[in-house]
Amino acid sequence: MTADRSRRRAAKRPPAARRATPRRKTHSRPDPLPTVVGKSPRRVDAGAKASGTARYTADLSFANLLVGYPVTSRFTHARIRRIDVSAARRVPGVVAVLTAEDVPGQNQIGVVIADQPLLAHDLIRSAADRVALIAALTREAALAAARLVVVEAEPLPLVCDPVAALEPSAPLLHPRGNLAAKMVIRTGDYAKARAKAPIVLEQTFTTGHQEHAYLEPNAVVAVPDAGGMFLTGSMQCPFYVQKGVARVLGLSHAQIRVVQAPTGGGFGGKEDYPSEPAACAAVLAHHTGRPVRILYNRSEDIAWSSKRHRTVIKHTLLADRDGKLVGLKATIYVDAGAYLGLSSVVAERANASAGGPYRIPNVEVDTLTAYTNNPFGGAYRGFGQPQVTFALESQLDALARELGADPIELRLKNFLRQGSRTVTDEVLRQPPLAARTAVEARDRSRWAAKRRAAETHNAADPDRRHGVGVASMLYGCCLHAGGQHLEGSAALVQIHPDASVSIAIGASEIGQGAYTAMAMLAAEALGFAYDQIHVVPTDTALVPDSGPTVASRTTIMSGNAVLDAARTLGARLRPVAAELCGVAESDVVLQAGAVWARGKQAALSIAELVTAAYLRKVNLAHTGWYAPPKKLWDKATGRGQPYSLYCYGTLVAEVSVDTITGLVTVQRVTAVHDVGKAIYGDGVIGQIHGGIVQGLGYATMERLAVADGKILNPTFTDYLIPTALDVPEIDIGLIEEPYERGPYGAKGIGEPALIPVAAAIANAVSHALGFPLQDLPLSPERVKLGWEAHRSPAAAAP
Amino acid sequence: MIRAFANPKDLTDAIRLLTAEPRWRPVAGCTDISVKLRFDRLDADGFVNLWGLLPRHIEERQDEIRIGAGATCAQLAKSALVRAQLPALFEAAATLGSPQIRSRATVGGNVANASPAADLVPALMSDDARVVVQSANGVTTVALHRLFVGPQKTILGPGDLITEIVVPKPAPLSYARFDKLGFRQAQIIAAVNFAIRATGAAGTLDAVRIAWGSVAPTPVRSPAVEDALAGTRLTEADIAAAIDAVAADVRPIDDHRASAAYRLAVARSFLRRALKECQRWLST
Repeated sequence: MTADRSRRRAAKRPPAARRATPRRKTHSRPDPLPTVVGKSPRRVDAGAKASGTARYTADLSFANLLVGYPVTSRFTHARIRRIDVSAARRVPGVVAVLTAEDVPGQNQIGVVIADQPLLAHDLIRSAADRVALIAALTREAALAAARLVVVEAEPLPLVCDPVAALEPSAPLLHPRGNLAAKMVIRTGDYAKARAKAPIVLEQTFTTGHQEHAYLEPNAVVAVPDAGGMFLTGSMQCPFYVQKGVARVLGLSHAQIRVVQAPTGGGFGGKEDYPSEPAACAAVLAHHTGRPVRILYNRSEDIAWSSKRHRTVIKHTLLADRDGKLVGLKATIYVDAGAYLGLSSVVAERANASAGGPYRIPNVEVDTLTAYTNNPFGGAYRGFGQPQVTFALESQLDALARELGADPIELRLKNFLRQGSRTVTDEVLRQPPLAARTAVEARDRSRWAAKRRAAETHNAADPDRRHGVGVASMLYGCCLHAGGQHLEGSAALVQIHPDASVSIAIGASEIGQGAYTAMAMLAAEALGFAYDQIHVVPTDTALVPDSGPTVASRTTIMSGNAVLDAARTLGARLRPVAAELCGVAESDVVLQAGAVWARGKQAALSIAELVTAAYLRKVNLAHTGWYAPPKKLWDKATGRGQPYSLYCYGTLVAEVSVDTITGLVTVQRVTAVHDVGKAIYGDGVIGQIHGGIVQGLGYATMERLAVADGKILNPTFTDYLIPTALDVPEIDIGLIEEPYERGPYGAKGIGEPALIPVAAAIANAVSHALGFPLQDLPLSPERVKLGWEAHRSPAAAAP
Repeated sequence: MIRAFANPKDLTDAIRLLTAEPRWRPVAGCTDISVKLRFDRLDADGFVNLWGLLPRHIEERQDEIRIGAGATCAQLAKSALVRAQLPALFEAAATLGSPQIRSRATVGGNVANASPAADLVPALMSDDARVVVQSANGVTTVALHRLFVGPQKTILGPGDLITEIVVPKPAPLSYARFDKLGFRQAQIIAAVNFAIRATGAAGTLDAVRIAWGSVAPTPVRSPAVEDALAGTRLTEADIAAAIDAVAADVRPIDDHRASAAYRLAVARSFLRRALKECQRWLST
């Protein structure tokens, strides 16, 4: 550590240099330049969060509130003989102990298919399976009762490897077999290409689980309400919670109202999972007639919630001697854990993204999602894509080494171009910007000079070696064609008589700045001042089902819905303004909190205009809606249009590798992203910083230790995430080419920010050490033992 | 279950309380205790607060450096005396935990907690430190490397308090180094700790003291390596022999932090780097 400390510099992050946006001249009709969009006003939630007055689920109080607690067993895979809760029921302070037969509706959860019992009754398939639910006056009483729940069960053989799980001899977790889902791509003729290809690169990659490590563990309250149920909690997808709770209670959707509480981070971890604690709390609340709150502590949260999927990827890349890619074959094993959850959807993205931003004419991809007794995989920022990106980008660097080519030049030769066909055989209509991001990243990072400097430094065989690596990415933004029915999004915009505005969207604020972006879009489109706009918490009773807050889709989908509503209301206000100003409607513009008539500020204020509209009984509330055009895609071949739009990005990572310890230090990252248009400037930069740090953790230090399906390190003492001292210097380049269907041209950035990070770091480490690395995380142990084997293969042999 | 938090008026009072209540634990900065408390791994009924009672001096007296058990890591990392005379301890203190933890964690607590991964202990051991123990029966002194009997276990009984650490002043010409294997830049428990102090002249090593952390049930001295090195001229063959001897002195385990093979590989690499550095130092 000695050298590390002395080497650390006070890393001043350069302000994100942004490309100058080409400013369009206004044409005949007034088409004003954005006044709010693209700027960085104060976040709508900054005051409450910074001052501690934001009330999270744990801060709420309810009369007669009970503590809910789910009881797990010591088994990971077992057939239940008997569950005895009689002793648990006798613990003072315990109000109810429930088992499977007490679930009033279906004892099933699962957002895609309901293959998971809320409470296990015949089989236990994972260490997180619940066997009983407790409601008590205190957490202490609930924990005491939980210890007294007796589970007698016959252990069954464990399935802990997603490849072995699919062998015919594997014990089955579910009657329909361990193959939970299969996705494919068949484009061109891979077999023929393989027979002729001069270069065939075969490698097998593995990637580990990743814990989301959001600030706030899962938290939810269920309150019985007039025959139905009211819930509030920490979540990404209130509509998922609504449906999940309705099913276990046997009630209609209309009887379940879900309001998102301020949520301390999600990263995908609160996409489907919160439906589980919510269903538990709702069943207990239904049974006791009292509000029930479930709060996980950190260890429970890590042990019970979903993780980034572990994968095994068998990868073959075909190329000609000029470095042109001619074929790709990949078999991607996705470890679902014991239940499907969102695994098939994650697999869908892994599958569709396996070819990256490259032209590869002959493709055979099989993505096999396997049931195992391991911790269950779920949504996590990037959604299957960081894994396949790591594999493909590592292979590209292997090809560059094989050819003696520069890795960026090799990529530039293979990027998709206008009119190119993607690996799913889609003809790209929007300009593919991969090459622009790569050139910009190359130039900003001084790639060639840095690579040469690292190689010169390493030639002296120092203990601390340097490396520079690159990775590029194509991200299909918003939902995959397989889930496009969920894409429609709503937003309610309501102008109050005093000209303040409240907006409600169907997506949620999980720290990413969605509410701020929405307030900015509403302000811009209405022409009102930003501080007139208030965003109310996402509420299933206020806004139609808008699908999940995932897939970097909120700015585009909810944003377009906000614009739809705001423009509708603008169209209702303008005639009133025209009448009061005595001009034609086409001469009136509302902008920057003022009314403009024929290009001059009118004597009429926005407040006066709104009052006048109310007196004229104009409806000043509207629910806007947006849904993208239908995408055609064939599941049997994987061909067609999987996504509505694509985002491109290239990252250059500079690392130093200590061969004494195997520790990888990421020193500098240059990230160039195609964002369409940055709506909330600081938000975009924050997303990219966060994605880099989270990706750095995934690449180098986050290691979930799992043995026999059980997590051995469910604490932040033992599951390590980066601290501020691990954050590299970051330089960001934004490419702002407006996306025609995005609000003011915006694309998504949440997931692209993370996807290429691990791949770029891995390539930098390979550059430093001179041999390829196939396993994530690049833990110090793997790096050190790999290095020793590389240096003296004989000595390292066991 | 903790039922008492006692604030004695002085150390004598504290010793009286701890002797009378063997299930009460002395606490100072509470940086180790609070983690154990949080994870319900504390077998105790009460706390006796020593914060403010333990001496906090760091001073040179004749041929010794004396450090009050209540001195914090932040104090050690700010001390010019420690920096100049005990560079291994300085480095260990400066990299332990985070600024918040360093401002509370005491040297006495780091020793008494008897963690195999205690960062300060190998550094102190490599400098031949002794601990001053005060009890109802008076004051005694124990060599630091004799204090530990197992993970979280020392020879100290209830009512035995470490009040001071005494380190002989190192020879004016000597070589010292501390290395920690931690998997991130801060807030990290060591997977291997290493400290060395070597003296020598005219190209020959006189004496070498080496101590390890996190590679055995307690922090340990490294007698086989020390013997292999003493009196040598640190040739490549001497270095190779010393590296071969590491396995005799450490007993690393496989756990979820690191495998035994990896810990041993890093231990050997730490030693090799230090001996190469020492070789250059000897030849100047």
